[in-house]
Amino acid sequence: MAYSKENLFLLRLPKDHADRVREAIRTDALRDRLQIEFFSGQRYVKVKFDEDNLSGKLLDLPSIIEVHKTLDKRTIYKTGDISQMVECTKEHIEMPEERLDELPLSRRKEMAKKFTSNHGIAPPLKNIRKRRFRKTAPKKFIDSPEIEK
Amino acid sequence: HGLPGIESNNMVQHSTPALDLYIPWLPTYWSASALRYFHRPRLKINKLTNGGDSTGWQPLSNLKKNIAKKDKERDKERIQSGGGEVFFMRSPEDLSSCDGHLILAEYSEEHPPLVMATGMATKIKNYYRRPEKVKGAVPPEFEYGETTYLQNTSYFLGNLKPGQALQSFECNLFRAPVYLHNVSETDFLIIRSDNKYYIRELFDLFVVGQECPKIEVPAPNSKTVNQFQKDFLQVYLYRLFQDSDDDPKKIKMEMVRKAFPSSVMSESVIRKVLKQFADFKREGYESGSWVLRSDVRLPTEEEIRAMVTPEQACAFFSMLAAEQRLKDAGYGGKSLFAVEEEEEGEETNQKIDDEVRAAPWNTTHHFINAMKGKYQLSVSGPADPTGCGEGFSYTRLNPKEAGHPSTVSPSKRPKTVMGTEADLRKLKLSKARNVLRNFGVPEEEIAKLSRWKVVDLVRSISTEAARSGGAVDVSSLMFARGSRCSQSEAQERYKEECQRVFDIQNKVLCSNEVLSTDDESSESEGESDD
Repeated sequence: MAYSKENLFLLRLPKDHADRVREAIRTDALRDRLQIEFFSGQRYVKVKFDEDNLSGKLLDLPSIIEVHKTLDKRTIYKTGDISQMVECTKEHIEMPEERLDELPLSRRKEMAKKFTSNHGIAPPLKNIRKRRFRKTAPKKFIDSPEIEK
Repeated sequence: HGLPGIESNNMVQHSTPALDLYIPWLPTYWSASALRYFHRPRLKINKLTNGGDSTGWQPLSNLKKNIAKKDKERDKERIQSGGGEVFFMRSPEDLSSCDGHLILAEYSEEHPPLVMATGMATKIKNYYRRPEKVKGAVPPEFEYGETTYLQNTSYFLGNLKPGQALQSFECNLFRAPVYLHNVSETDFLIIRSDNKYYIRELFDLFVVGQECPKIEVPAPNSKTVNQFQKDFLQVYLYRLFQDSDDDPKKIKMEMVRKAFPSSVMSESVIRKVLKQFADFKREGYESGSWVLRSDVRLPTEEEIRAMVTPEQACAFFSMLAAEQRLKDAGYGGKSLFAVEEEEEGEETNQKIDDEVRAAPWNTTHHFINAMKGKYQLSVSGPADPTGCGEGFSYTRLNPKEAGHPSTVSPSKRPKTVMGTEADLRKLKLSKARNVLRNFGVPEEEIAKLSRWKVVDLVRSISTEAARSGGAVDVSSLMFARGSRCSQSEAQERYKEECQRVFDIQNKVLCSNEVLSTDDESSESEGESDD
């Protein structure tokens, strides 16, 4: 597989789906059973596994998460950074009409919050954004909720 | 105090592309937006959808076969090389996340002072202190890393207890304690490459504790930065010439401008560097090009690699990202970016805003100086990345506060250091006599003393009480006067403080108990002191 730029992110599935997907990965029975769909100007994501439809949200994680690769479990080589996670639920989330990249600036901040996770993925980093990060000076520049122009 | 030595560099061998400053991983130029998402890459959804409404359904493909195939290939190569050690990280493809054994590293600091680039190597070391008197004690078994035995020394600000082990990431940028956790069974890694999506299982996750920097992040506009930018440019130019197929070798200014646009470097600087080894041709066949002079030998790959290391580039990038954060927070002007001077007095120190104190060029500078024994860190304070006492503040302890317990551990013990707002000269005779009564001085003694004798006695008794710690009530201690605690006492207290924070971090970050949810914690905010 020739290298081209790799985008890395996490996928969080409901427990029972996760178990079934894991089983499928290990037995090499995944084929095209698990699929994902992104929508322009949206952070809502659709995921389906077999007959089940899941609703996902693309969230920004609080900490830098590095991926490292190792061949001897002694020296590790960084292969990239992860900063987002698609979190899926079984509950159906209705996709809003409005696109994030077309919102007025004033509403972007509020929307950015909606797609910001306060929790790291490691147990001790739960709530890290509120509990553990040093309080920093408020930004004057407004975080766009993502969306490349 | 077994202060950790700053180890010599080159203890790890990076991948070849990292050594070659492969541009996608060690870019020559960062936009403001790229700096805002420094090591936090966002999926560009509108690009994924290619202008359409959606990506359509995209299968997440299994990498199981690919992983096995690559493992086999590497095994084969090992055998062919005679079973010796083979260096496998030679090209960008070798750093793909699609094969090999993966681990995750989640940083506990929001903005670690130094972050490695893709392709850079780190070693995992497991520090272990043998228990005294226990024969045949062996360190716990670790799946990752190599064990290093420690005696009384420590490579951290605190010491390991006998029998205690601590895992650590060791690279040329920093050392950091790490804590192994399991990735949640619900979480998978998705890799998107060439418009295709892949899925992998994840298992092990290291939480990275506060970094102990090994190199300094240069301050904005410093000499180090100016020199780095020139060296970085020079390396880029050498490689451009190297790649030229012309004879003599030549390059065009436009090529350089793409990598170093005018917003980061003026054309006059580029010309100045180019003039050292190339001539600009105005006429003839080479018109408009910079041509390598015939008497110039291009440096070898080894020589070029030595000119700029990936570590220097990372330190420079870290400065750029922090400068952008400060700008976004409304800071500007040179004064705010200043490094705290070594000899600065209290008043000038006060003027430096906390936000700037926490900037990486300040924290890395102070940490390294403190490790060299030049001065003590304030340990707790504005640059504590946790903001809740679970990390170290890499700020310099004001010499005037050195050994002042109230600045290090509030309300933990009675003040032994002298000097309060209570003015002995204004102390009323009646009140002074009361203080003496509280200390149990007999009434007839008190009656015999003149006003100044009374005051004198108040001072000496309360000083004595403060020293011994056996004060009757704290209010009388404010009349204690005398020399500050001795240097060795101050050093002892500093060690204790460092140990305390070191232990807290270890305890908190290795814990895998389920923490409270959002709502509960916001109610208990501010109570987290103990």
